[in-house]
Amino acid sequence: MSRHTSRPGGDPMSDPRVRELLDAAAAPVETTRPLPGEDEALAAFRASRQGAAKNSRFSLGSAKAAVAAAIGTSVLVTGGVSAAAAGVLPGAAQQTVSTLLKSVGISVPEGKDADGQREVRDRPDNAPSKAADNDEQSRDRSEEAPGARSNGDDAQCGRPEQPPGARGNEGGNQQPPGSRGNQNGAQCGRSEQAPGARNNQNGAGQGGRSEQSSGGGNNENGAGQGGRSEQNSGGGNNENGAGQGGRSEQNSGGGSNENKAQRGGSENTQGDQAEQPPADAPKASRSRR
Amino acid sequence: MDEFEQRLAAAQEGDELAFVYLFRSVQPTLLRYLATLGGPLAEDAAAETWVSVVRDLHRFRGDEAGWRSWIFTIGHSRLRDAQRRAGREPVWVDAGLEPALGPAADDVASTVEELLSTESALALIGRLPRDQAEAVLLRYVVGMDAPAAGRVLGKRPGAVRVAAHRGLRRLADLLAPPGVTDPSAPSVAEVT
Repeated sequence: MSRHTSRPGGDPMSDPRVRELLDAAAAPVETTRPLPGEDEALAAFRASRQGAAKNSRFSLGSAKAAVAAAIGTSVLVTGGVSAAAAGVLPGAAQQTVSTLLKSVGISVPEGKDADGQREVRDRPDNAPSKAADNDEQSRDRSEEAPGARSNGDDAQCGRPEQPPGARGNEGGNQQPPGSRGNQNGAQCGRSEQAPGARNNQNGAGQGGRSEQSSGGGNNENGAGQGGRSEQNSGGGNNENGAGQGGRSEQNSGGGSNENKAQRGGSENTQGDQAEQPPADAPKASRSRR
Repeated sequence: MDEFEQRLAAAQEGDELAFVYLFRSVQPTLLRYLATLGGPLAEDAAAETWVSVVRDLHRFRGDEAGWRSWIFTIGHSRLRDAQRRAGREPVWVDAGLEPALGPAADDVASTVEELLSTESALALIGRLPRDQAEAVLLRYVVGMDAPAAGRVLGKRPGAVRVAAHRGLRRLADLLAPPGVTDPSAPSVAEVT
């Protein structure tokens, strides 16, 4: 039940009792002393300021870390892609990157397989290479990586390969980075030249093996049929290696091992500077190409 | 830049005195509003309001009216949350009146005549229906205009005006002596 004391539709603010009640309800408050809740609000204000300062420092550190991470990531990605484009990544990594980039339409050199041999499957025809001659014959593989120069005279039975940076791999066979002058490799044999070796000319013949280790000098006229002619690290001139079935080795520090055995062993060990006479055969012919 | 804007900028930079000034400019009316509508929940709601205010103080942009409206909006929301948590309806302010049953008409009139204090006036406003009490408090106790009160309550300004008008008429009925229907009857002050 409601008792209406004012006229219907009239302004209630014209009622002095209502005005007085509202004035009393809105009376000003003495604020010289702390108000209820002021200490709590001030504590919250201080805590908020301290938290803001901590957040500011944290944000600054996070921003620095984020920038550093972004720079590092970009450097790694750029370097990885560049290395992949140059084909100098390790075999599996190169293969993986090549596959990934191929999916987005970018062609980079393939990686090497488990044997360290460069893959030739799906090799793009327009792969970057400075090779002047890639005269592939039947059963033979002659590849020249980007940056390699002068891989001439492909092997007939061997697998002439020249990695990036190798120079003067003529006549096929394997030539590691930095090696120079591996000429006239094996026909069906194996002629290898380690990093830093120079002038491994006229390597193994049919079934022969002619190796030149790191730092070796002139290994000319390696093993013939079934023969083996090795020149180890630091060896000097190993010319006219083993003939048929013979073995001619020159170890570290040896010099001038010429005219080696045809059917016997002939070794020039470390520190031996003398020329080694042939065992029982006439001096083999020198056939430099 | 007026004094409020200077104080606000200083408070946003961490000046405690400036913050105290801003606090004292709002807290009394905020407490009255919350206490009238929320009773014992008012202090907790006010504390939560200021926690929210100091947290977002650096982001506030506006004048003094906007500042007041912003704080009361937060306070109104916090009180609603507190009442929802407490699972209770708005309660009366304990100002010597009987909250549960309410005073008899004669008692109300005598109370107004004898104890027309701020607390008793707020207690009478608290007897209004919720929407009317909110509108009367914001319009005539806090001093907001209808649009600002509407922003706090989430209503249109017209709805706020209607609610406030009905609340004032109801207060006039409560304040009238029994049997008196003349609005020109002597006021409480004249009687006392």
